[in-house]
Amino acid sequence: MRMMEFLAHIGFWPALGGQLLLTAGTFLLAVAIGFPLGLLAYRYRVLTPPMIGFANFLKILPGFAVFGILMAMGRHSTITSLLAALFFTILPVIFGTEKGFRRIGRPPIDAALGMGMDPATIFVRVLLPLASPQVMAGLRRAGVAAVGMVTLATMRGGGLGALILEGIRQNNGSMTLAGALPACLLALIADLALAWLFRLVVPAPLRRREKRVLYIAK
Amino acid sequence: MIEFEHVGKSVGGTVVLSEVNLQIPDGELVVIAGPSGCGKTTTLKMINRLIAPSTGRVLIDGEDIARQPVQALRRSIGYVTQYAGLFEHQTVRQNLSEPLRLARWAKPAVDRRLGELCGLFSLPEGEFMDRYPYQLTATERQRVCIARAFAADPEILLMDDPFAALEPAQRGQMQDELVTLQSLMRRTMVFITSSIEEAIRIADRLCIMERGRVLQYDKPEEILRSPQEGFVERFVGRNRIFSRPQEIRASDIMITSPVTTHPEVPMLKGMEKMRLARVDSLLVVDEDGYFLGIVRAEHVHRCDNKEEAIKSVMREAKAVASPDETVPELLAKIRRFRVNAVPVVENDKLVGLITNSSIVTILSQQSMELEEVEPL
Repeated sequence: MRMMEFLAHIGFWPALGGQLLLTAGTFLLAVAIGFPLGLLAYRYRVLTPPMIGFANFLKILPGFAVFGILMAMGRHSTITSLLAALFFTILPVIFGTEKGFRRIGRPPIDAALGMGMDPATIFVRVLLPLASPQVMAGLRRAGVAAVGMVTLATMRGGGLGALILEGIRQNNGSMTLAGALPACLLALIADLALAWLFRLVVPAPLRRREKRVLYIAK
Repeated sequence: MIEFEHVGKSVGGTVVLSEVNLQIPDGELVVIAGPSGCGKTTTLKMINRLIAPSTGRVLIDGEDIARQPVQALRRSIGYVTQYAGLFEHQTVRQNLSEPLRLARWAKPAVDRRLGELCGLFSLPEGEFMDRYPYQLTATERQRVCIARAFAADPEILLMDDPFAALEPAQRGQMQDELVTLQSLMRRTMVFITSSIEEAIRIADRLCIMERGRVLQYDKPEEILRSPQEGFVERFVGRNRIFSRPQEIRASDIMITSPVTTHPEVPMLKGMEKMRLARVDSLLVVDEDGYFLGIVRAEHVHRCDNKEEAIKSVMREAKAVASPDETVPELLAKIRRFRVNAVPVVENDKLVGLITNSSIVTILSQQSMELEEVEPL
Protein backbone atom coordinates (compact mmCIF):
# COMPACT_ATOMS: atom_id res chain seq x y z
CA MET A 1 0.00 0.00 0.00
CA ARG A 2 2.91 2.30 0.68
CA MET A 3 3.74 2.10 -2.98
CA MET A 4 0.25 3.16 -3.98
CA GLU A 5 0.39 6.04 -1.58
CA PHE A 6 3.78 7.00 -2.91
CA LEU A 7 2.52 6.91 -6.49
CA ALA A 8 -0.52 8.98 -5.58
CA HIS A 9 1.71 11.40 -3.72
CA ILE A 10 4.01 12.10 -6.65
CA GLY A 11 1.04 12.39 -9.03
CA PHE A 12 1.82 9.24 -10.95
CA TRP A 13 -1.69 8.40 -12.15
CA PRO A 14 -2.50 11.72 -13.81
CA ALA A 15 1.00 11.67 -15.31
CA LEU A 16 0.47 8.17 -16.75
CA GLY A 17 -2.99 9.11 -18.03
CA GLY A 18 -1.60 12.23 -19.66
CA GLN A 19 1.25 10.25 -21.15
CA LEU A 20 -1.08 7.64 -22.67
CA LEU A 21 -3.45 10.25 -24.07
CA LEU A 22 -0.69 12.42 -25.48
CA THR A 23 1.21 9.46 -26.95
CA ALA A 24 -1.88 8.10 -28.66
CA GLY A 25 -2.84 11.58 -29.84
CA THR A 26 0.63 12.35 -31.17
CA PHE A 27 0.85 9.01 -32.94
CA LEU A 28 -2.56 9.25 -34.59
CA LEU A 29 -2.00 12.84 -35.63
CA ALA A 30 1.44 11.92 -37.00
CA VAL A 31 -0.13 9.16 -39.13
CA ALA A 32 -2.97 11.42 -40.25
CA ILE A 33 -0.52 14.10 -41.38
CA GLY A 34 2.51 12.00 -42.31
CA PHE A 35 0.76 9.50 -44.59
CA PRO A 36 -0.67 12.14 -46.96
CA LEU A 37 2.66 13.99 -46.89
CA GLY A 38 4.47 10.78 -47.80
CA LEU A 39 2.01 10.23 -50.64
CA LEU A 40 2.59 13.79 -51.80
CA ALA A 41 6.34 13.25 -51.77
CA TYR A 42 5.82 10.09 -53.83
CA ARG A 43 3.32 11.58 -56.26
CA TYR A 44 5.16 14.81 -57.02
CA ARG A 45 8.78 14.00 -57.55
CA VAL A 46 9.74 17.69 -57.27
CA LEU A 47 8.64 17.65 -53.67
CA THR A 48 10.64 14.58 -52.78
CA PRO A 49 14.16 16.05 -52.39
CA PRO A 50 13.21 19.08 -50.22
CA MET A 51 10.77 17.12 -48.12
CA ILE A 52 12.96 14.08 -47.56
CA GLY A 53 15.97 16.38 -47.18
CA PHE A 54 14.25 18.39 -44.46
CA ALA A 55 13.07 15.23 -42.75
CA ASN A 56 16.59 13.85 -42.91
CA PHE A 57 17.93 17.08 -41.39
CA LEU A 58 15.50 16.79 -38.49
CA LYS A 59 16.44 13.15 -38.06
CA ILE A 60 20.06 14.13 -37.49
CA LEU A 61 19.21 16.44 -34.58
CA PRO A 62 19.23 14.71 -31.18
CA GLY A 63 15.74 14.93 -29.75
CA PHE A 64 16.87 15.65 -26.23
CA ALA A 65 18.99 18.60 -27.41
CA VAL A 66 16.10 20.10 -29.34
CA PHE A 67 13.91 20.05 -26.26
CA GLY A 68 16.81 21.53 -24.32
CA ILE A 69 16.99 24.40 -26.79
CA LEU A 70 13.24 24.96 -26.59
CA MET A 71 13.50 25.00 -22.83
CA ALA A 72 16.44 27.40 -22.80
CA MET A 73 14.55 29.72 -25.15
CA GLY A 74 11.83 29.76 -22.52
CA ARG A 75 9.36 28.34 -24.98
CA HIS A 76 8.99 24.96 -23.43
CA SER A 77 5.29 25.32 -23.08
CA THR A 78 3.36 22.12 -23.42
CA ILE A 79 1.98 23.15 -26.80
CA THR A 80 5.30 23.95 -28.48
CA SER A 81 6.98 20.87 -27.09
CA LEU A 82 4.11 18.66 -28.20
CA LEU A 83 4.43 20.21 -31.65
CA ALA A 84 8.11 19.31 -31.60
CA ALA A 85 7.23 15.76 -30.52
CA LEU A 86 4.73 15.57 -33.35
CA PHE A 87 7.39 16.66 -35.83
CA PHE A 88 9.76 13.91 -34.76
CA THR A 89 6.99 11.33 -34.87
CA ILE A 90 5.84 12.32 -38.36
CA LEU A 91 9.28 11.67 -39.88
CA PRO A 92 9.25 7.86 -39.92
CA VAL A 93 5.68 7.93 -41.26
CA ILE A 94 6.69 10.14 -44.20
CA PHE A 95 9.82 8.09 -44.85
CA GLY A 96 8.01 4.78 -44.71
CA THR A 97 5.13 5.92 -46.90
CA GLU A 98 7.35 7.49 -49.55
CA LYS A 99 9.66 4.49 -49.64
CA GLY A 100 6.82 1.98 -49.71
CA PHE A 101 5.10 3.56 -52.68
CA ARG A 102 8.32 4.43 -54.49
CA ARG A 103 9.59 0.89 -54.61
CA ILE A 104 6.46 -0.47 -56.31
CA GLY A 105 7.77 0.68 -59.69
CA ARG A 106 5.99 0.88 -63.04
CA PRO A 107 5.12 -2.72 -64.00
CA PRO A 108 2.28 -3.47 -61.52
CA ILE A 109 0.84 0.01 -62.07
CA ASP A 110 0.96 -0.39 -65.84
CA ALA A 111 -0.57 -3.84 -65.53
CA ALA A 112 -3.39 -2.48 -63.37
CA LEU A 113 -4.01 0.50 -65.68
CA GLY A 114 -3.82 -1.76 -68.72
CA MET A 115 -6.51 -4.01 -67.26
CA GLY A 116 -8.78 -1.01 -67.06
CA MET A 117 -8.79 -0.47 -63.29
CA ASP A 118 -9.83 3.01 -62.20
CA PRO A 119 -7.38 5.03 -60.07
CA ALA A 120 -9.20 4.52 -56.76
CA THR A 121 -9.29 0.74 -57.24
CA ILE A 122 -5.62 0.73 -58.18
CA PHE A 123 -4.81 2.60 -55.00
CA VAL A 124 -6.77 0.28 -52.75
CA ARG A 125 -6.19 -3.08 -54.43
CA VAL A 126 -2.67 -2.70 -55.77
CA LEU A 127 -0.68 0.23 -54.41
CA LEU A 128 -1.72 0.13 -50.76
CA PRO A 129 -1.05 -3.60 -50.24
CA LEU A 130 2.25 -3.43 -52.13
CA ALA A 131 3.42 -0.41 -50.12
CA SER A 132 2.16 -1.76 -46.81
CA PRO A 133 5.40 -3.38 -45.54
CA GLN A 134 7.34 -0.10 -45.56
CA VAL A 135 4.35 1.98 -44.48
CA MET A 136 3.74 -0.31 -41.51
CA ALA A 137 7.43 -0.40 -40.63
CA GLY A 138 7.33 3.41 -40.60
CA LEU A 139 4.30 3.36 -38.31
CA ARG A 140 6.11 1.02 -35.96
CA ARG A 141 9.08 3.34 -35.70
CA ALA A 142 6.70 6.28 -35.24
CA GLY A 143 4.90 4.51 -32.40
CA VAL A 144 8.11 3.99 -30.49
CA ALA A 145 9.25 7.53 -31.30
CA ALA A 146 5.93 8.91 -30.01
CA VAL A 147 6.47 7.34 -26.58
CA GLY A 148 10.01 8.75 -26.35
CA MET A 149 9.17 12.18 -27.68
CA VAL A 150 6.09 12.63 -25.51
CA THR A 151 8.21 11.69 -22.50
CA LEU A 152 10.65 14.45 -23.44
CA ALA A 153 7.89 16.90 -24.27
CA THR A 154 6.21 16.50 -20.88
CA MET A 155 9.26 17.40 -18.79
CA ARG A 156 7.38 20.51 -17.66
CA GLY A 157 4.31 18.48 -16.74
CA GLY A 158 1.47 16.53 -18.27
CA GLY A 159 3.21 13.17 -18.59
CA LEU A 160 5.86 10.77 -17.33
CA GLY A 161 8.67 13.15 -18.38
CA ALA A 162 7.80 15.46 -15.51
CA LEU A 163 8.30 12.63 -12.98
CA ILE A 164 11.70 11.78 -14.43
CA LEU A 165 12.94 15.38 -14.47
CA GLU A 166 11.51 16.15 -11.03
CA GLY A 167 13.05 12.91 -9.64
CA ILE A 168 16.44 13.87 -11.00
CA ARG A 169 16.12 17.39 -9.64
CA GLN A 170 15.17 16.19 -6.14
CA ASN A 171 17.69 13.35 -6.30
CA ASN A 172 14.73 11.04 -5.70
CA GLY A 173 15.54 7.72 -7.41
CA SER A 174 12.14 6.14 -6.78
CA MET A 175 10.40 9.07 -8.40
CA THR A 176 12.69 8.93 -11.45
CA LEU A 177 12.04 5.22 -11.79
CA ALA A 178 8.29 5.74 -11.42
CA GLY A 179 8.52 7.86 -14.56
CA ALA A 180 11.21 5.99 -16.47
CA LEU A 181 10.09 2.36 -16.05
CA PRO A 182 6.51 2.86 -17.29
CA ALA A 183 7.88 4.93 -20.20
CA CYS A 184 10.14 2.02 -21.21
CA LEU A 185 7.31 -0.47 -20.79
CA LEU A 186 5.04 1.71 -22.88
CA ALA A 187 7.63 1.82 -25.68
CA LEU A 188 7.85 -1.98 -25.63
CA ILE A 189 4.08 -2.36 -25.68
CA ALA A 190 3.76 0.12 -28.54
CA ASP A 191 6.40 -1.78 -30.52
CA LEU A 192 4.76 -5.16 -29.93
CA ALA A 193 1.28 -3.87 -30.71
CA LEU A 194 2.45 -2.34 -33.98
CA ALA A 195 4.41 -5.48 -34.86
CA TRP A 196 1.16 -7.39 -34.43
CA LEU A 197 -0.67 -4.84 -36.59
CA PHE A 198 2.07 -5.30 -39.21
CA ARG A 199 1.35 -9.03 -39.40
CA LEU A 200 -2.34 -8.32 -39.60
CA VAL A 201 -2.20 -5.72 -42.37
CA VAL A 202 0.68 -6.77 -44.63
CA PRO A 203 -0.11 -9.60 -47.11
CA ALA A 204 1.81 -12.81 -46.39
CA PRO A 205 4.19 -12.84 -49.42
CA LEU A 206 5.30 -9.27 -48.67
CA ARG A 207 5.86 -9.91 -44.96
CA ARG A 208 8.43 -12.46 -45.91
CA ARG A 209 10.39 -10.00 -48.00
CA GLU A 210 10.11 -7.19 -45.48
CA LYS A 211 11.77 -9.36 -42.86
CA ARG A 212 14.77 -9.80 -45.12
CA VAL A 213 14.96 -6.09 -45.90
CA LEU A 214 14.86 -5.15 -42.23
CA TYR A 215 17.48 -7.72 -41.45
CA ILE A 216 19.86 -6.29 -44.04
CA ALA A 217 19.10 -2.76 -42.90
CA LYS A 218 20.14 -3.64 -39.38
CA MET B 1 -7.67 -3.65 -87.36
CA ILE B 2 -5.44 -1.26 -85.46
CA GLU B 3 -4.28 1.79 -87.40
CA PHE B 4 -1.69 4.43 -86.60
CA GLU B 5 -2.24 7.61 -88.61
CA HIS B 6 0.66 10.06 -88.71
CA VAL B 7 1.36 9.42 -85.05
CA GLY B 8 4.07 11.48 -83.39
CA LYS B 9 5.17 11.93 -79.82
CA SER B 10 7.54 14.36 -78.23
CA VAL B 11 8.35 14.70 -74.57
CA GLY B 12 9.91 17.94 -73.40
CA GLY B 13 11.31 18.83 -76.83
CA THR B 14 12.69 15.33 -77.51
CA VAL B 15 11.06 13.54 -80.40
CA VAL B 16 10.20 10.00 -79.33
CA LEU B 17 8.08 9.02 -82.33
CA SER B 18 7.61 10.68 -85.67
CA GLU B 19 5.23 9.98 -88.52
CA VAL B 20 4.31 6.44 -87.48
CA ASN B 21 1.84 4.90 -89.93
CA LEU B 22 0.91 1.27 -89.31
CA GLN B 23 -1.95 -1.03 -90.15
CA ILE B 24 -2.20 -4.08 -87.92
CA PRO B 25 -4.67 -6.53 -89.48
CA ASP B 26 -7.05 -8.64 -87.36
CA GLY B 27 -5.76 -12.01 -86.25
CA GLU B 28 -2.11 -11.36 -87.04
CA LEU B 29 0.86 -11.50 -84.75
CA VAL B 30 2.76 -8.31 -85.47
CA VAL B 31 6.21 -7.94 -83.95
CA ILE B 32 7.74 -4.52 -83.48
CA ALA B 33 11.49 -4.93 -83.18
CA GLY B 34 14.28 -2.47 -82.69
CA PRO B 35 17.05 -1.44 -80.32
CA SER B 36 16.16 -0.03 -76.91
CA GLY B 37 14.96 3.55 -77.10
CA CYS B 38 13.61 3.19 -80.64
CA GLY B 39 10.06 4.00 -79.51
CA LYS B 40 8.59 0.51 -79.74
CA THR B 41 7.22 0.46 -76.18
CA THR B 42 5.78 3.96 -76.65
CA THR B 43 4.05 2.76 -79.81
CA LEU B 44 2.60 -0.22 -77.96
CA LYS B 45 1.39 1.80 -75.01
CA MET B 46 -0.51 4.11 -77.35
CA ILE B 47 -2.82 1.25 -78.28
CA ASN B 48 -4.21 0.97 -74.74
CA ARG B 49 -3.79 4.69 -74.11
CA LEU B 50 -1.14 4.39 -71.41
CA ILE B 51 0.56 7.03 -73.54
CA ALA B 52 -1.27 9.60 -75.64
CA PRO B 53 0.10 10.67 -79.04
CA SER B 54 1.18 14.29 -79.41
CA THR B 55 0.02 14.31 -83.02
CA GLY B 56 -1.97 11.94 -85.21
CA ARG B 57 -4.50 9.31 -84.18
CA VAL B 58 -4.77 5.65 -83.30
CA LEU B 59 -7.86 3.85 -84.56
CA ILE B 60 -9.30 0.47 -83.69
CA ASP B 61 -11.83 -0.84 -86.21
CA GLY B 62 -11.99 2.63 -87.72
CA GLU B 63 -12.77 4.42 -84.47
CA ASP B 64 -10.47 6.94 -82.84
CA ILE B 65 -9.58 5.42 -79.48
CA ALA B 66 -9.06 8.85 -77.93
CA ARG B 67 -12.83 9.27 -78.06
CA GLN B 68 -13.62 6.02 -76.33
CA PRO B 69 -14.04 5.59 -72.56
CA VAL B 70 -10.51 4.72 -71.48
CA GLN B 71 -11.24 1.97 -68.96
CA ALA B 72 -13.67 0.15 -71.22
CA LEU B 73 -11.07 0.32 -74.02
CA ARG B 74 -8.38 -1.15 -71.78
CA ARG B 75 -10.63 -3.93 -70.55
CA SER B 76 -11.07 -5.04 -74.15
CA ILE B 77 -7.29 -5.31 -74.65
CA GLY B 78 -4.99 -7.84 -72.97
CA TYR B 79 -1.67 -6.43 -71.82
CA VAL B 80 1.57 -8.11 -70.74
CA THR B 81 3.97 -5.60 -69.24
CA GLN B 82 7.72 -5.62 -69.40
CA TYR B 83 9.42 -7.29 -66.42
CA ALA B 84 7.26 -8.50 -63.59
CA GLY B 85 3.74 -7.24 -64.03
CA LEU B 86 2.18 -9.75 -61.66
CA PHE B 87 0.70 -8.51 -58.42
CA GLU B 88 3.13 -9.86 -55.85
CA HIS B 89 0.61 -9.70 -53.01
CA GLN B 90 -1.93 -11.86 -54.80
CA THR B 91 -1.98 -15.59 -55.50
CA VAL B 92 -1.95 -16.97 -59.03
CA ARG B 93 -5.72 -17.43 -58.78
CA GLN B 94 -6.28 -13.84 -57.66
CA ASN B 95 -3.96 -12.51 -60.35
CA LEU B 96 -5.80 -14.44 -63.06
CA SER B 97 -9.23 -13.44 -61.72
CA GLU B 98 -8.46 -9.73 -61.58
CA PRO B 99 -9.49 -8.89 -65.20
CA LEU B 100 -12.62 -11.03 -64.77
CA ARG B 101 -13.50 -9.23 -61.57
CA LEU B 102 -13.24 -5.94 -63.44
CA ALA B 103 -15.55 -7.30 -66.12
CA ARG B 104 -17.96 -8.35 -63.32
CA TRP B 105 -18.02 -12.04 -64.14
CA ALA B 106 -20.02 -14.27 -61.79
CA LYS B 107 -18.11 -16.68 -59.56
CA PRO B 108 -18.99 -19.92 -61.40
CA ALA B 109 -18.04 -18.34 -64.74
CA VAL B 110 -14.74 -17.18 -63.25
CA ASP B 111 -13.95 -20.68 -61.95
CA ARG B 112 -14.77 -22.21 -65.30
CA ARG B 113 -12.60 -19.67 -67.10
CA LEU B 114 -9.66 -20.26 -64.73
CA GLY B 115 -9.83 -23.96 -65.56
CA GLU B 116 -9.75 -23.16 -69.28
CA LEU B 117 -6.79 -20.84 -68.83
CA CYS B 118 -4.84 -23.51 -66.95
CA GLY B 119 -5.40 -25.88 -69.84
CA LEU B 120 -4.42 -23.33 -72.48
CA PHE B 121 -1.23 -22.22 -70.77
CA SER B 122 -0.17 -25.59 -69.33
CA LEU B 123 -0.52 -24.39 -65.76
CA PRO B 124 -1.12 -27.08 -63.14
CA GLU B 125 -4.44 -26.58 -61.36
CA GLY B 126 -4.94 -27.17 -57.64
CA GLU B 127 -2.23 -26.13 -55.21
CA PHE B 128 -0.39 -24.14 -57.90
CA MET B 129 -3.27 -21.65 -58.05
CA ASP B 130 -2.70 -20.71 -54.40
CA ARG B 131 0.99 -19.95 -54.83
CA TYR B 132 2.34 -16.43 -54.80
CA PRO B 133 4.42 -15.04 -57.70
CA TYR B 134 7.68 -15.27 -55.72
CA GLN B 135 7.17 -19.04 -55.48
CA LEU B 136 7.07 -19.45 -59.28
CA THR B 137 9.88 -20.09 -61.74
CA ALA B 138 10.60 -17.46 -64.38
CA THR B 139 8.71 -19.42 -67.05
CA GLU B 140 5.72 -20.01 -64.79
CA ARG B 141 5.56 -16.29 -64.02
CA GLN B 142 5.53 -15.48 -67.72
CA ARG B 143 2.84 -18.08 -68.38
CA VAL B 144 0.67 -16.60 -65.64
CA CYS B 145 1.28 -13.07 -66.98
CA ILE B 146 0.17 -14.08 -70.46
CA ALA B 147 -2.72 -16.14 -69.13
CA ARG B 148 -3.89 -13.09 -67.19
CA ALA B 149 -3.79 -10.98 -70.34
CA PHE B 150 -5.93 -13.63 -72.07
CA ALA B 151 -8.29 -14.03 -69.11
CA ALA B 152 -11.20 -11.89 -70.26
CA ASP B 153 -10.76 -13.27 -73.80
CA PRO B 154 -9.81 -9.97 -75.48
CA GLU B 155 -9.59 -9.60 -79.25
CA ILE B 156 -6.36 -7.62 -79.01
CA LEU B 157 -3.23 -8.51 -77.02
CA LEU B 158 -0.25 -6.30 -76.36
CA MET B 159 2.99 -7.91 -75.20
CA ASP B 160 5.94 -5.81 -74.15
CA ASP B 161 9.05 -8.00 -74.45
CA PRO B 162 7.53 -10.70 -72.24
CA PHE B 163 10.34 -13.23 -72.64
CA ALA B 164 13.26 -10.87 -72.06
CA ALA B 165 13.99 -12.23 -68.60
CA LEU B 166 14.07 -15.90 -69.63
CA GLU B 167 17.05 -18.18 -70.29
CA PRO B 168 17.58 -18.89 -74.02
CA ALA B 169 16.23 -22.47 -73.84
CA GLN B 170 13.06 -21.46 -71.96
CA ARG B 171 12.69 -18.49 -74.21
CA GLY B 172 12.63 -20.70 -77.29
CA GLN B 173 10.04 -22.93 -75.67
CA MET B 174 7.80 -19.99 -74.78
CA GLN B 175 8.10 -18.63 -78.32
CA ASP B 176 6.98 -21.99 -79.71
CA GLU B 177 4.07 -22.08 -77.28
CA LEU B 178 3.02 -18.59 -78.26
CA VAL B 179 3.04 -19.49 -81.95
CA THR B 180 0.98 -22.61 -81.25
CA LEU B 181 -1.44 -20.60 -79.14
CA GLN B 182 -1.78 -17.97 -81.84
CA SER B 183 -2.52 -20.61 -84.48
CA LEU B 184 -5.38 -21.80 -82.23
CA MET B 185 -6.73 -18.44 -81.12
CA ARG B 186 -6.02 -16.11 -84.05
CA ARG B 187 -6.05 -12.94 -81.96
CA THR B 188 -4.59 -9.62 -82.98
CA MET B 189 -1.27 -9.50 -81.17
CA VAL B 190 1.33 -6.79 -81.00
CA PHE B 191 4.58 -8.10 -79.61
CA ILE B 192 7.62 -6.01 -78.73
CA THR B 193 11.14 -7.40 -78.75
CA SER B 194 14.70 -6.27 -79.17
CA SER B 195 15.79 -9.68 -80.42
CA ILE B 196 15.59 -10.13 -84.18
CA GLU B 197 15.81 -13.92 -83.79
CA GLU B 198 12.72 -13.88 -81.61
CA ALA B 199 10.94 -11.53 -84.02
CA ILE B 200 11.57 -13.75 -87.03
CA ARG B 201 10.62 -16.87 -85.14
CA ILE B 202 7.14 -15.70 -84.16
CA ALA B 203 6.07 -12.84 -86.43
CA ASP B 204 3.34 -12.96 -89.07
CA ARG B 205 4.38 -9.42 -89.87
CA LEU B 206 7.46 -7.58 -88.75
CA CYS B 207 7.99 -3.89 -88.09
CA ILE B 208 11.53 -2.62 -87.66
CA MET B 209 11.86 0.67 -85.79
CA GLU B 210 14.78 2.90 -85.09
CA ARG B 211 14.93 6.34 -83.45
CA GLY B 212 11.17 6.80 -83.37
CA ARG B 213 10.60 5.87 -86.99
CA VAL B 214 9.22 2.83 -88.74
CA LEU B 215 11.94 1.77 -91.18
CA GLN B 216 10.38 -1.33 -92.68
CA TYR B 217 7.06 -3.09 -92.17
CA ASP B 218 6.46 -6.32 -94.02
CA LYS B 219 6.32 -10.10 -93.77
CA PRO B 220 9.50 -11.35 -92.08
CA GLU B 221 10.57 -13.31 -95.15
CA GLU B 222 10.26 -10.15 -97.27
CA ILE B 223 12.40 -8.23 -94.82
CA LEU B 224 14.97 -11.01 -94.77
CA ARG B 225 15.00 -11.20 -98.55
CA SER B 226 15.28 -7.51 -99.21
CA PRO B 227 16.14 -5.60 -96.07
CA GLN B 228 16.25 -1.86 -96.45
CA GLU B 229 19.77 -0.60 -96.86
CA GLY B 230 21.49 0.64 -93.75
CA PHE B 231 20.06 0.01 -90.32
CA VAL B 232 17.62 -2.79 -91.18
CA GLU B 233 20.30 -4.64 -93.10
CA ARG B 234 22.65 -4.53 -90.14
CA PHE B 235 19.87 -5.33 -87.68
CA VAL B 236 18.69 -8.48 -89.44
CA GLY B 237 22.30 -9.44 -90.07
CA ARG B 238 22.38 -10.14 -93.79
CA ASN B 239 24.95 -12.61 -95.13
CA ARG B 240 26.27 -13.40 -91.73
CA ILE B 241 27.24 -17.00 -92.48
CA PHE B 242 26.19 -18.33 -95.85
CA SER B 243 24.81 -16.58 -98.84
CA ARG B 244 22.31 -19.23 -99.96
CA PRO B 245 20.48 -21.77 -97.77
CA GLN B 246 20.47 -24.23 -100.67
CA GLU B 247 24.20 -24.48 -100.16
CA ILE B 248 23.99 -25.22 -96.46
CA ARG B 249 24.04 -28.96 -95.76
CA ALA B 250 22.87 -30.82 -92.71
CA SER B 251 26.48 -31.69 -91.91
CA ASP B 252 27.28 -27.95 -91.68
CA ILE B 253 24.77 -27.15 -88.98
CA MET B 254 24.08 -30.43 -87.15
CA ILE B 255 24.94 -31.13 -83.54
CA THR B 256 27.73 -33.70 -83.89
CA SER B 257 27.46 -35.22 -80.43
CA PRO B 258 23.75 -35.57 -79.61
CA VAL B 259 22.71 -37.27 -76.36
CA THR B 260 22.51 -41.00 -77.03
CA THR B 261 21.83 -44.19 -75.10
CA HIS B 262 22.40 -47.93 -75.52
CA PRO B 263 19.18 -49.99 -75.99
CA GLU B 264 19.87 -52.28 -73.00
CA VAL B 265 20.28 -49.43 -70.50
CA PRO B 266 17.57 -49.45 -67.77
CA MET B 267 15.00 -46.67 -68.03
CA LEU B 268 16.03 -45.13 -64.71
CA LYS B 269 19.52 -44.48 -66.04
CA GLY B 270 18.07 -43.07 -69.23
CA MET B 271 15.88 -40.64 -67.31
CA GLU B 272 18.84 -39.52 -65.28
CA LYS B 273 20.77 -38.90 -68.47
CA MET B 274 17.96 -36.75 -69.92
CA ARG B 275 17.75 -34.81 -66.71
CA LEU B 276 21.47 -34.10 -66.62
CA ALA B 277 21.65 -33.17 -70.31
CA ARG B 278 18.36 -31.20 -70.09
CA VAL B 279 16.82 -32.92 -73.09
CA ASP B 280 13.43 -34.58 -73.48
CA SER B 281 14.51 -37.46 -75.67
CA LEU B 282 17.46 -39.77 -76.29
CA LEU B 283 18.72 -41.23 -79.54
CA VAL B 284 19.20 -44.99 -79.23
CA VAL B 285 22.42 -46.28 -80.76
CA ASP B 286 23.94 -49.77 -80.48
CA GLU B 287 27.58 -50.50 -79.65
CA ASP B 288 28.63 -50.20 -83.32
CA GLY B 289 27.03 -46.77 -83.73
CA TYR B 290 23.97 -47.99 -85.69
CA PHE B 291 20.93 -45.78 -85.18
CA LEU B 292 17.95 -47.73 -83.78
CA GLY B 293 15.33 -45.18 -82.75
CA ILE B 294 14.21 -42.52 -80.30
CA VAL B 295 13.16 -42.69 -76.65
CA ARG B 296 11.02 -39.83 -75.39
CA ALA B 297 10.75 -38.80 -71.74
CA GLU B 298 6.93 -39.02 -71.78
CA HIS B 299 7.04 -42.65 -72.90
CA VAL B 300 9.48 -43.54 -70.18
CA HIS B 301 7.27 -41.79 -67.62
CA ARG B 302 4.24 -43.71 -68.76
CA CYS B 303 5.99 -47.06 -68.26
CA ASP B 304 5.48 -48.66 -64.84
CA ASN B 305 8.60 -50.78 -64.53
CA LYS B 306 11.56 -48.43 -64.74
CA GLU B 307 13.99 -51.35 -64.30
CA GLU B 308 13.20 -52.56 -67.80
CA ALA B 309 15.59 -51.91 -70.69
CA ILE B 310 15.01 -48.62 -72.43
CA LYS B 311 14.51 -50.31 -75.80
CA SER B 312 11.05 -51.44 -74.67
CA VAL B 313 9.73 -47.88 -75.06
CA MET B 314 11.84 -47.00 -78.09
CA ARG B 315 10.03 -45.67 -81.19
CA GLU B 316 11.18 -45.50 -84.74
CA ALA B 317 12.21 -41.98 -85.80
CA LYS B 318 9.49 -40.29 -87.86
CA ALA B 319 12.06 -38.66 -90.07
CA VAL B 320 15.77 -39.02 -90.64
CA ALA B 321 18.07 -37.01 -92.86
CA SER B 322 21.33 -37.69 -94.67
CA PRO B 323 24.32 -35.38 -94.07
CA ASP B 324 24.12 -33.79 -97.51
CA GLU B 325 20.47 -32.72 -97.34
CA THR B 326 20.05 -28.95 -97.67
CA VAL B 327 18.30 -26.55 -95.31
CA PRO B 328 15.12 -26.20 -97.45
CA GLU B 329 14.84 -30.01 -97.56
CA LEU B 330 15.36 -30.30 -93.82
CA LEU B 331 12.82 -27.59 -93.15
CA ALA B 332 10.29 -29.34 -95.36
CA LYS B 333 10.85 -32.55 -93.41
CA ILE B 334 10.41 -30.84 -90.06
CA ARG B 335 7.14 -29.36 -91.23
CA ARG B 336 5.80 -32.45 -92.94
CA PHE B 337 6.46 -34.77 -90.00
CA ARG B 338 5.75 -32.15 -87.31
CA VAL B 339 8.91 -32.93 -85.38
CA ASN B 340 11.32 -30.53 -83.73
CA ALA B 341 14.46 -32.56 -84.33
CA VAL B 342 15.74 -34.81 -87.13
CA PRO B 343 18.54 -37.37 -86.58
CA VAL B 344 21.20 -37.34 -89.28
CA VAL B 345 22.12 -40.84 -90.42
CA GLU B 346 24.81 -42.06 -92.82
CA ASN B 347 25.02 -45.77 -93.81
CA ASP B 348 22.58 -46.52 -90.96
CA LYS B 349 24.96 -44.96 -88.44
CA LEU B 350 24.04 -41.88 -86.38
CA VAL B 351 26.28 -38.92 -87.23
CA GLY B 352 24.39 -35.96 -85.79
CA LEU B 353 21.12 -34.19 -84.98
CA ILE B 354 19.36 -31.23 -86.58
CA THR B 355 17.04 -29.25 -84.30
CA ASN B 356 14.35 -26.84 -85.31
CA SER B 357 16.02 -24.02 -83.45
CA SER B 358 19.37 -24.53 -85.13
CA ILE B 359 17.64 -24.08 -88.48
CA VAL B 360 15.72 -21.04 -87.31
CA THR B 361 18.97 -19.47 -86.18
CA ILE B 362 20.49 -20.09 -89.59
CA LEU B 363 17.42 -18.71 -91.35
CA SER B 364 17.42 -15.56 -89.30
CA GLN B 365 20.93 -14.93 -90.47
CA GLN B 366 19.92 -15.33 -94.09
CA SER B 367 18.37 -13.40 -96.80
CA MET B 368 16.68 -16.30 -98.46
CA GLU B 369 13.87 -17.31 -100.72
CA LEU B 370 11.59 -18.73 -98.07
CA GLU B 371 8.85 -19.41 -100.60
CA GLU B 372 10.92 -22.14 -102.18
CA VAL B 373 10.89 -23.87 -98.84
CA GLU B 374 7.24 -23.48 -98.03
CA PRO B 375 5.32 -26.55 -99.14
CA LEU B 376 2.24 -25.68 -97.07
